[in-house]
Amino acid sequence: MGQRGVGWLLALPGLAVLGGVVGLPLLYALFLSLTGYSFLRPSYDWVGPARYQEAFRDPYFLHALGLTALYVAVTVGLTLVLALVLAVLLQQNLPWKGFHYFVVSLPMLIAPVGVGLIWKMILHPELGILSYLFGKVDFFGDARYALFSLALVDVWQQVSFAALVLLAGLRSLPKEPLEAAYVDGATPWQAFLRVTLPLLRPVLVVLLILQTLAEVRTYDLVYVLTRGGPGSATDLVSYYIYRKAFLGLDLSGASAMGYLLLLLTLALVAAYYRLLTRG
Amino acid sequence: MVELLGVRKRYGEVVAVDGVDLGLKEGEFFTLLGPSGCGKTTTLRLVAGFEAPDAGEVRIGGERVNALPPERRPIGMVFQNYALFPNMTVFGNVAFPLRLKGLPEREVRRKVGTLLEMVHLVGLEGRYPKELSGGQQQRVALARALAREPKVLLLDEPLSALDAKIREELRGELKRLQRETGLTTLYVTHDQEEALALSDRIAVMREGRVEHLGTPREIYEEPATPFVAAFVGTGVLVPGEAREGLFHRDRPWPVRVKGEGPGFLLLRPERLRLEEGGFLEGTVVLATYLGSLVRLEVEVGGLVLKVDLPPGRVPALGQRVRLGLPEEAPFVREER
Repeated sequence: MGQRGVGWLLALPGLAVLGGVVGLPLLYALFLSLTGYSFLRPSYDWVGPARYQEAFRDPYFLHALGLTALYVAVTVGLTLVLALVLAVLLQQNLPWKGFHYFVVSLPMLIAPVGVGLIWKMILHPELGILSYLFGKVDFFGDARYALFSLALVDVWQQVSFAALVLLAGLRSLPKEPLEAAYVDGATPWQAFLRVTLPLLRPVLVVLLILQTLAEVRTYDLVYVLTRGGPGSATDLVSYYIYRKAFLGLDLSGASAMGYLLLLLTLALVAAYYRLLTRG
Repeated sequence: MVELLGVRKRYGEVVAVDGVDLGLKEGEFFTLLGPSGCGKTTTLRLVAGFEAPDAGEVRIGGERVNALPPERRPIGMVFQNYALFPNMTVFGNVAFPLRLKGLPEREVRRKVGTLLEMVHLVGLEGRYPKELSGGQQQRVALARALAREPKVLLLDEPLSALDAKIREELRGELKRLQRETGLTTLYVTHDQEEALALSDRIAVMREGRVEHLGTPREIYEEPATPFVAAFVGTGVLVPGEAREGLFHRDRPWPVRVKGEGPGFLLLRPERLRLEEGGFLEGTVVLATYLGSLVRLEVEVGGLVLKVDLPPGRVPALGQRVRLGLPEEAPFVREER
């Protein structure tokens, strides 16, 4: 057997597991999305692309998509900016470095449901510390604040992972271009903007992809904190699809929406990838 | 133009620079030469402002610059690994310091054009560093370092990442550019040939101190210590004694030396010759073909001396030969 054959043989167990746990469910969902299957009428009647066409006409689904786009833009943007600030601060020679690392890493170590419960208490309109300090604000009960309160909790959790990734990126950058910029007369701020940030671009783009994927799939925080409410103020698309499948019992409709979301996400990743490889 | 007065720098327990005193004259090509870890790069970084001295003073153009950050010192610098900005074209790299200065774009274009002409890179303005060879990248780095019109040019082993042919070519260009611009230049290298070829003066460093400061000829022909003698050029140090103007080993050798007392006679391969009736007799143990010459190693009473010969008349291995000594040779003593 040639080297290529041995390679395939060694990869086969992994590929089989991957096919079983990822490939099969994906194929099954694709199949479902082309049928009229629901838990109330469990029959595989072939309907073709009808469920996809329905999804495009579903105002709640379109609302959830728009809301998710806003949510992703806010959370990913805020996360990257805050993470960059934290990473730059952590890179300095501050005293108590280990303690700072520990504090920054903490949110990453807590399960999302735990994070949701902690913040639910902090932001509780009657019992929460924030309401006690700043007066009564119904962070999750008022449609004006709910989405942004949810976003802030999410950013609080995501920022630690992003900061550590960016810190690793900053540490791995060659020192000389930065020193060359200083010799050329750049101030620290100019050197950061014109040398460090461009050098950090590959790390930033990878992080952008990871964060976008994570935020598009946000489900757990919505489940714990708002259940999509008040009204549909926080009805993000992943939560909406969950509701469609398991509360509406419409498995084929949810599968079609899931596939549409998958295609949208893939398009986004492709765009980011172009950004990464450009230049 | 550049002065270092009793400069010290330590990193924890390690003393990197240990009381260095140096003075570079205006327009001089000055080289810090030494093996890895001798403190030469740290000394350069102290001048650049990337490190602050623990003691002593760094002066540029008469001004004390200890507390000035690199961007406020009148310097240009070329790094070992070029340190080009990968996201900028050749033009962008060279224009970078000019744009920081706030020059109008027309002036920037004119200056970049002149600089690229100077380093023979006209036509490559639009390329990115990864599209250039090592030699071209180093030329860009040089043009960028000159763009600010610095008073002092600092070069940190700028040729060591290049292959031999390009290194030699760039060495010549560096010398030409320095002559043309008249720029005071501080050059760091571990390559003694490079130092001898380029410099007006050389400081040979060892363990954070300057072991010998002099012109290339002085360093090569009259090394101050056995370390300098062994580090610069090829040669064999023969232990013995200087007495009444002659070198003594087991008997007086017919070699005139300066000084008195114990020390080492430095015998360079180009100063020894094969000679019938020569003073020393030995056995050929190795012959190395070096293109323009053959280097012979001859064992003489427990010493292995090196002799350079023109290719052609090379004795066989194991053959007994006699060696003629130079009439005069450097004599170096242990103390620093």
